Amino acid sequence: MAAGGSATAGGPTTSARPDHAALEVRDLRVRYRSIDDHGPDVLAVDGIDLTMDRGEVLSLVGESGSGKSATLLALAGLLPANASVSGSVRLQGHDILALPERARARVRGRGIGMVFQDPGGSLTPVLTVGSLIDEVLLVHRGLQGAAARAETEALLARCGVGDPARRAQAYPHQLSGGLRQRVAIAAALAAGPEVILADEPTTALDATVQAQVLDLLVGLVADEGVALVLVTHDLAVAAAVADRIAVMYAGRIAEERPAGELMERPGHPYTVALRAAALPFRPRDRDGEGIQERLPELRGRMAAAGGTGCSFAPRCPLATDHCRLVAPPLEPFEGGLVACWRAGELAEWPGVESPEVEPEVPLAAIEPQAVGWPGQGA
Amino acid sequence: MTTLRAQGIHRAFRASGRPVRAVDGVDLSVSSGEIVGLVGESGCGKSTLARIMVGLDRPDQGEVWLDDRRFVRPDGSVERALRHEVQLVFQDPHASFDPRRTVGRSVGMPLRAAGVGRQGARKRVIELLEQVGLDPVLADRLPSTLSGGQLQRAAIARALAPEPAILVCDEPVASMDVSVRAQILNLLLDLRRERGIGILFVSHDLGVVRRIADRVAVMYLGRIVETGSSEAVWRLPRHPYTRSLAASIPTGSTSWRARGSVPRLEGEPPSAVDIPSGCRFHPRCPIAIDRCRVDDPVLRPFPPDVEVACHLAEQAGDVA
Repeated sequence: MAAGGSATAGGPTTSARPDHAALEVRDLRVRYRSIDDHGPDVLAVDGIDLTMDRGEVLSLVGESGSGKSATLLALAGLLPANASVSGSVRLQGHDILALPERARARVRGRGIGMVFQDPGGSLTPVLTVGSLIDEVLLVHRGLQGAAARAETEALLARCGVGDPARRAQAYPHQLSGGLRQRVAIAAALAAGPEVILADEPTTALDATVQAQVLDLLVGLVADEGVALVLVTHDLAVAAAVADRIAVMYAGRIAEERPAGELMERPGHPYTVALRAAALPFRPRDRDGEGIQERLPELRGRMAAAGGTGCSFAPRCPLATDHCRLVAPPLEPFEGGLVACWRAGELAEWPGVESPEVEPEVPLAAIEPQAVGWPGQGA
Repeated sequence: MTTLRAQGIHRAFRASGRPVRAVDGVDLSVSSGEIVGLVGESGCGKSTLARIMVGLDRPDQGEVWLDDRRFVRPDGSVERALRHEVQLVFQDPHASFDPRRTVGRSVGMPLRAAGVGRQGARKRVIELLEQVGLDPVLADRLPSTLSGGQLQRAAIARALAPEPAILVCDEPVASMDVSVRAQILNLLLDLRRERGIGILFVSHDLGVVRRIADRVAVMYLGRIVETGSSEAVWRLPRHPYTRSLAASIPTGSTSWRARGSVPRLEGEPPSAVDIPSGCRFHPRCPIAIDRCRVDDPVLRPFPPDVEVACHLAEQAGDVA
């Protein structure tokens, strides 16, 4: 929990306690060197800790520049050459950052499955989707020929791809976006990973297909017991599928708490703003002519990571001089962690208990009973 | 008070020699001072309809009217004198600005084209940029130096230059961060309130449409299947497709997670190459009956102000 402390976490091999977590990240930092060697380095991730158990969904939420994608790429080992990573990432008992390169690639390849926003870009266009998955099975599980193909078809079927024997013969461009994402998820599962990292996996999909794919991911976590890290800019998506949500801001975790509690009573002012922006409800207030008022708005831009004071202070309605001078540590708060000097006072802030938004449609209208299709069930 | 009205619009394209009926008989109107949300999945024809309504694409059949003046004729020709009244804002501002031209010159192009002198155009560009909340110094910068949100404001300024009555915005906030998105949506709300502009807001994102639209039209495979005031439609979505869309928006509630508790729409948005017989939604519809397979439903009125194209629309009331 000692974020923001000393860097160089050399080799935390003295694990006195048994380590059952699927994934354990300590003091992760990602720094990009300027490509032309003249500009300043950019700190993208500024010392974060994460612990994931099997069968758990953690969502990393934030806007562009928050460091959420850099965190994911660092875990997956997919950062560009000008990035440097420090800290420790424990997967299957290995500190993968401390392993030699080939061993690291093997542990990662087997232990981590990756799903990207654009499934078209992550599937090889010249391989049929079946042979793509066959190859993963050969490399990581030693399966070949008919055994591999049978497993490939089972994986496709498990991911909701209808008629898997025929679909396995298709090239990625012959499939719709939703099917491609299902194939990408099947490929991510093929090595039998403990952790799936998904970067905005439904952002490019239609709402109805997004719902199907989110259902699929949540189902896989429950049935296969993998840990899922879901990166999204949409707090509403995170709330829908995550057990825990970590809101990131300027390279650090601003708040990490169980999803329901975080949505109900945010502990960080940035979470309050994100929630107001993400929920699909109209502002309650209208002027005399029934014309709608403006939406809650967060002005300004995200600060660069690594400055003095709280990086959210320039945009925060509650910021004090103390906030501007001293960065708040991530401290226990109502079931989780919050980095805000004023987290305790937030409950009295008008934006929190009575949010500026209110369901115009009663939530019940889209809860199960009310949506129950006429003529079905009863 | 101006109303842009599309009537009986049909538009087909050819894909591998087969006709794709992108827009298949649609009426839609937008008036000054209102925001109309046009929603649907990819390929439903919403962008084609939007392009026809600004006169950028021609319909095969149908007309577009501005009050009692004909804007787009049945032969597809456009009344140029009315063009300035309807302006389009695209999804990706980086693609809709000439990268080699300063932002100010691009924003001023419609004015220069209308015969405004250089000095006058410059003065007006500054006013327009201020109106959309941009620092006028950005007029002399190149588009690549602006953020996505800034450039989308500039795109809106450019669309406002000819003083249109109606703005058509095609996915104007897709792929924006939530805080930037709120700022752009507020700009549109301000333009509506302060200047009485009418806005057709085209989006696949029901959550966004639900936040800002006064009226909504839900499109499926080239047809509007449900339309009405936002309040009425979201309070009681009558078309099974609208209900599936509503159920698929994450609401911020964690109970959404409970698997199987909310009916999901099966399958993917189908292609307009093979439009199903009868009701075009019936293959995905959880409540379809035999009649739906043969009998194509038309829009029927439901008081106070909703229209629904579904044989079973009455049943929606039973479950509310």
